[in-house]
Amino acid sequence: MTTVVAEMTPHSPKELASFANQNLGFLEGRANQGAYIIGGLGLTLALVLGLCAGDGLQHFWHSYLLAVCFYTSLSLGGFAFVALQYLTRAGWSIVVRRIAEIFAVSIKTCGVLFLPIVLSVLMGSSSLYIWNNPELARTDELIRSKVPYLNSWFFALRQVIYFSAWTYLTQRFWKASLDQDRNGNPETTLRLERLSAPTLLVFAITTTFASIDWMMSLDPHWFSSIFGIYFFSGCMVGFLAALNLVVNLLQRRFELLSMITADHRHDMGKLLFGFMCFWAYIGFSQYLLIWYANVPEETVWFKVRQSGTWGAVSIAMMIGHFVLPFLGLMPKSMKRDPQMLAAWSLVLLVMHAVDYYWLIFPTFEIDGPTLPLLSLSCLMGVGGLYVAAWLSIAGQRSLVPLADPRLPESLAVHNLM
Amino acid sequence: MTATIAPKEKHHASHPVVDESPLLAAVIAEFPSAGAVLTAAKTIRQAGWTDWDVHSPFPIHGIDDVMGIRPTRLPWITLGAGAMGITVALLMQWWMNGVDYPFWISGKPFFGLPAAAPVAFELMILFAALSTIAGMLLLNGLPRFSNPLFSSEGFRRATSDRFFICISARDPMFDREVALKAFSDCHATAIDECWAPPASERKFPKALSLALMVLFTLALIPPVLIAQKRSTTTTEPRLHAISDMDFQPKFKPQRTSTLFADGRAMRPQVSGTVARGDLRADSRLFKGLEPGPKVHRTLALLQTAPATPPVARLVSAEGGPRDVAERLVALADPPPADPLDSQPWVTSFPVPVTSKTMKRGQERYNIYCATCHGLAGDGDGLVTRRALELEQGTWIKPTTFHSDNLRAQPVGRLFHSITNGVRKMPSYADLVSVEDRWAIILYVKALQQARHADAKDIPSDLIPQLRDLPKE
Amino acid sequence: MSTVTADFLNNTQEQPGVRSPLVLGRHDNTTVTERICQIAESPKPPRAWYIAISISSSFTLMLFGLIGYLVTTGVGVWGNNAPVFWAWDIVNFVFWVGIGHAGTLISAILFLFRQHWRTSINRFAEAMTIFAVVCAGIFPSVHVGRVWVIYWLLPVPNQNAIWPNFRSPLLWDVFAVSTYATVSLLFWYMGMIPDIATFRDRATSRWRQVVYGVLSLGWTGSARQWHRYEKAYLLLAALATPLVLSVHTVVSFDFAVSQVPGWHTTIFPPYFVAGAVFSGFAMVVTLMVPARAFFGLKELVTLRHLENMNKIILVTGSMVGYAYAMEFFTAWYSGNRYEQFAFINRAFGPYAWAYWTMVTCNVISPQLFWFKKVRTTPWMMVIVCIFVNIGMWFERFVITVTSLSRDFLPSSWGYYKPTFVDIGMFVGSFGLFFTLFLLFCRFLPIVAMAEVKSVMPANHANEDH
Repeated sequence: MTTVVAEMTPHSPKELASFANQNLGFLEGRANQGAYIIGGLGLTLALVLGLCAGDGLQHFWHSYLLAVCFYTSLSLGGFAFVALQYLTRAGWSIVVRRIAEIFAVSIKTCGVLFLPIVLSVLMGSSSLYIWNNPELARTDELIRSKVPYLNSWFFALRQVIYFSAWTYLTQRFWKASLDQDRNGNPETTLRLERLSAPTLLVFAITTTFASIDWMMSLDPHWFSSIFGIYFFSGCMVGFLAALNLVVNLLQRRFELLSMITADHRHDMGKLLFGFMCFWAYIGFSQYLLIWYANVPEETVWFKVRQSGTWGAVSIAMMIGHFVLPFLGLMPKSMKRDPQMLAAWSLVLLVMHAVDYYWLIFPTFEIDGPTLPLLSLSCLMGVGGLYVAAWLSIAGQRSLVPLADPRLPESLAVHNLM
Repeated sequence: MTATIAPKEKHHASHPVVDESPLLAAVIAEFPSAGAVLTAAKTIRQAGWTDWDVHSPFPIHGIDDVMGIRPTRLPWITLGAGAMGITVALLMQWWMNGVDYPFWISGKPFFGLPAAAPVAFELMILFAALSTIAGMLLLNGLPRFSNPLFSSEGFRRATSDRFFICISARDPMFDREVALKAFSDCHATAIDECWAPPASERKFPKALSLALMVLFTLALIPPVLIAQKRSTTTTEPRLHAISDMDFQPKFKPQRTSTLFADGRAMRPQVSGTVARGDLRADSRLFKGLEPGPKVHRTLALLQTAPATPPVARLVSAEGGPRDVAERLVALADPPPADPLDSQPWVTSFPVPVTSKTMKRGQERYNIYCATCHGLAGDGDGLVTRRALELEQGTWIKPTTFHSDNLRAQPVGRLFHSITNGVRKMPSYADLVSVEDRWAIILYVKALQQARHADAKDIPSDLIPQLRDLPKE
Repeated sequence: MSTVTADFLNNTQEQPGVRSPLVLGRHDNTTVTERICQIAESPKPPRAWYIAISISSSFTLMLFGLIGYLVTTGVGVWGNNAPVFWAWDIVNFVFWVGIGHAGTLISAILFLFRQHWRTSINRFAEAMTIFAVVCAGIFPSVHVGRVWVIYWLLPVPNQNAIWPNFRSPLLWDVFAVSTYATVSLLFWYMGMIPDIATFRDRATSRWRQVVYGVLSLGWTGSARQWHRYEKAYLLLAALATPLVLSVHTVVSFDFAVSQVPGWHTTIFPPYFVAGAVFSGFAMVVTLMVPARAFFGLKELVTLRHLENMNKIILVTGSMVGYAYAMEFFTAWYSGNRYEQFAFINRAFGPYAWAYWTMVTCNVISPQLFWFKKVRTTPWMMVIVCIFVNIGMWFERFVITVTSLSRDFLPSSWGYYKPTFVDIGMFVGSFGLFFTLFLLFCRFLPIVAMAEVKSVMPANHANEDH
């Protein structure tokens, strides 16, 4: 209840001006090159492994989908975060908003990375999405009834709609935010606040259907109306964990962003904690309802994930994605300490990848994972390209919104609980 | 602990002799704003006072640091109570539904984590929340209805719009003059003294204690009554709160009724009507008899002379004493002229003869018949063999199905035997459905034919396989 | 304060970088105390209060009369019958529990999100929560028929020597709702302790001193007390936040764990929670707008407060709309013909009138809140919020009754009609709700004075730290 009505201006204007030096320009593209090399190596290794697997690249495509979904989810989380900050007129988060914006804008790269999947579906490949097999679409009664939605052309069209909507909206936020750096116009903030509400509406609908298209339709018989929300909760956990890690890296390695203090970490930790609980809540609700009603057409999805090696993965996720971080992130000191927060964020980021692995692979490998190395190299490859894009977007730009009218409030934030 | 002012118990301990004069408990100073009291609090702390406190209408930001208040233990209480809530809830559900009174319901395990989670969660919250509030009150020394601070008229504004610092008389360096001086140095707008009433007036109000005692006694009555009811038996019927639910205007089977002339509550079937599912017009299927006028006569005959007296069924099932059994054996002797021989039994199956029926018949036969008649119908089932081994005189060995007499019996006659029983064999009508009886007869016929078959009867494509059978 | 112009009372214009004041007018600690205490301290309440409470208490009497009739006769006096065994009883229960979500949401979740504007309205909303939960509890309690053995629901030894079935979602409901009622009651009471102490210290009559003195537990507002009090408040907020989500989640389990088409869908938990917040906030706005005018609280409960609540209504209304859409899409996508039928039957079957009432009120009417004019004009928002409340009642009706009236077996389809007891009890529950509410307004602090004071800028001006 003790509240602080943000005490303004502990930072002098001169200090604020010096924030312009907070950028990654000194890297001079060296990091980008490294990232590209890692990306190229990873993808080549993945392709070679995929060809060696001798299953018509089925394994490769699933791994590739996993990797693209994983990085897209970080961007989607960033996008939602930015829009939410505008919608709620948040003051505390201004210092981390630019980093979130970079994550969000990287979604255009994810669109390019998703292109191979769209093309393979258009060319009639059913090694990833079995509903694209015309024989099955004719004979399987359930798939036949879903053909109006699950067909290659409509699938491709939807992906175009999703990615263009996301790219368009993130670019608008990004451009306006960069413009504000130069002109300091408070009108920009008001304009983006107005834009944020419809943006989130579009975000909710597109993300939901994207999750259905990408992951739920891998098993075209299965359905769950909460799936979109589950996917969204994962996006937020992944993004916030990544955000904490990036902030930690920039502070520790490059001594940047010193204005992000324990009070901001505390808030980011609380958000991460909150969304992690939200993820557990949604996951448990979905499981309980299906477990309890015990309708075979739904339980089959969990049956696979509950037996054998996948069962062990499920248990590991329950512990690693919820129980341990729940206890770990609960104390105030854990959220305020940079190293501890980064450590728990790393745990959650890894578990987020495991979550997607668990969503994607059991449909294809019923008996348990056989070639995790392929998925790892795909994650590395796509990750390299994603990081390269991230770095080039960050470029010479300030990592803090210099002229945001709420920046002083953010700098002065005091976290008492 | 807050305890700004000496609690009366302490006073009692240090002053065994009842003191009749009011005691100075604290001096208080009033300040107009949160900022002023914050500044003053710094001064007071620097002056070395230890037993003092700030009173304000709302929590002042930053006061904890100024006063040096250490973080409270409350979160640990909450955490512990929450963990206890989960544990209690899980143990309770496991024991009640899994151990003490397990019962199957909707295919759920007796105790399963998914179904136990909601209650565990709720109890965790309940325990934690109750302990948080109770812990907060306890640590704050609340409730506390008698406080010397309330003796100051000015202090009443501490909960509205004024800010106070209070130095307790229990402070080791307490001295009235010094404290007052300290306050005036802090620019207090008003200074006051708080007096604790003399010990003689600090007694618990008599009326209140009487009321509490009465309440306590009254509160004892329900548990005592419950305990008494639980530990005694009674011949009185229980209380009927809603009598028309306990005594419903309806008749139970086999009761009398004055409503009907015959005095029976159960009504016989109205003549000329058939109950649902009781229409058995197809004589071939339900009786094994060809339809015709003769049937009715036969039925009447059959109804008056049951094949097996009910007593025999009872005894054979329980294996009664030998003398009774011997009499019954005599009774069970077939009547010299069997009227059954001359009935118009059906000779063909009134149900479709398919391999499915045959399979069904085999299965039913093995379940219901083979125990006595033997798997091949030789009358050497396990029960029979055991009975003969024990030399049970009451036991009548079932006839073999492979005798000429039985082989010649029309299928309708066999149906009659299963339906109504024969000699000591009871009726199987209530155990085996009509269709299943025909299926059993079909299988029995197959058994009979198999016993008397020769190579000609075997389909030619099966003969090669027979050669491969292992030789016995 | 009648000199303040209406224009001054509008603090809904946002200027980035500057936070609008949460308390308007020339208020300080003294005037805030005066303004709120005078409501409860005036020797005679206004005549309107007497009129209102006589109407509401007569409806309450009707409610208790009907409950007596039901208990002595049996639940057959309701319209519930095969195949619709759950009808207005469960609809009213879910409706009232939903209303009861706003209070805890405002006091707990907005507190954790550091939304200081909650301080003016949280007490009011918490009280509403308690009274709504009281109304909600009545329906399932009397629905069991033999209310005198209702303790069979609790894990206490009973004459049958059996234990309750913990695998049933209905038992989870018993635990969830009773925990929620207990915790929100205590949360509300704990929040009131400092304000009741204010009442005690201002009391002039002996009986007020005694009653408020006992209720305030001897609170003196010492810094050490405040320290633990604030910690306890924070902990309770952190506990109440998942609790408030869990309550409607468990209520949704009542439906969703079954296999009834239209009930069994995985989106139910978040969908029910969003709906509950939606209806709860609509009820707060519906009551707050007349109350702030009536009690002269326009400077404490400002237009900005109302606008913020309307924005939350818009957000949660959109979530509910999203859930409707997802249900429909998944029903089609599942390829399950029973599921598909359930939804076609909702929209075009015999209860289509209820379905379209629900969609109009819940999805279309809150869209008016996209316009700032509607969000900030009191009479307009009240109209929209009343529509939302009607719509949310119909949502529960549509879910419960349409799904049950036509499920797998067409031969046992039916059409449910309420009896006068159903209608009378529902109307009567509003009577009980308003009776409790009017008593609260008369005798207890309806605005959290201590919290409002703590967010007033004047109380931070002199701090140096």
